Amino acid sequence: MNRDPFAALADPTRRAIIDLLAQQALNINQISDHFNTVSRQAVTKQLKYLEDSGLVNIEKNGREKYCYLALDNLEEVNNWLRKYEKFWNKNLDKLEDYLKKREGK
Amino acid sequence: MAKEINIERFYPYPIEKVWNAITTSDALSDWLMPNDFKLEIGHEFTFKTKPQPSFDGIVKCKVIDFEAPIRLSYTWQGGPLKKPTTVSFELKSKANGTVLYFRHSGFEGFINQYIVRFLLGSGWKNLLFKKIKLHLDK
Repeated sequence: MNRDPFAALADPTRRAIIDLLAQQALNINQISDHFNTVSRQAVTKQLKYLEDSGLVNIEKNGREKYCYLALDNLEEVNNWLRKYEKFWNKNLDKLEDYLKKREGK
Repeated sequence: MAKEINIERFYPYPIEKVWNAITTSDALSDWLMPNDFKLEIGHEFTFKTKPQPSFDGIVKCKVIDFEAPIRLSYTWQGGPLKKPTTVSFELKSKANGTVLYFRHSGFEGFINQYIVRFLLGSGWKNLLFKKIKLHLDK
């Protein structure tokens, strides 16, 4: 099932989960330990919601299920990296100009 | 997560000249940014440029490793990059010039931070708002 990632972020528990996973990948128990007022079952449900919206990947590792952020394909990141790539390409052109200027010196 | 920038360039100049251009402060000031670079492992230096919105114009760096005249790497931290990333230059001498392999890597921490700030900050609200507005405009 596909869900809208932005609707997924409208919920405070799901946002808190994202915030936790931004620091490191965690298993479901570790995530639910962070919540006093939310049951493990509810956390699992929210994680499923986040997985369905493409924000979190859940991977089975032995008996544990590990959750980590899956945000690197978001357009924002790619745009930002493209900007940085442009910056370096422009400057590596300038490096060539510099070498040309200094030719014979 | 393999998010990094890789650029390969050929310069029709001998390797020593290219090496000097990437390892002397004056040369770097000319083609990159004003700086206080020194070719010394552990040397901390900055690149300074005009401040821009959301970037104070200062890049903090530290020389990690070098081997003259074939490789140099330093950390790169500034603007939205709160954790250091790594910039590296590798040179290969050819018959008629020098190949440069440039790499800027180590964006993982940044990607998570940036995106989370975007998602948990105003980014998602704006997007949600836009979506709602689009919906209402229908």
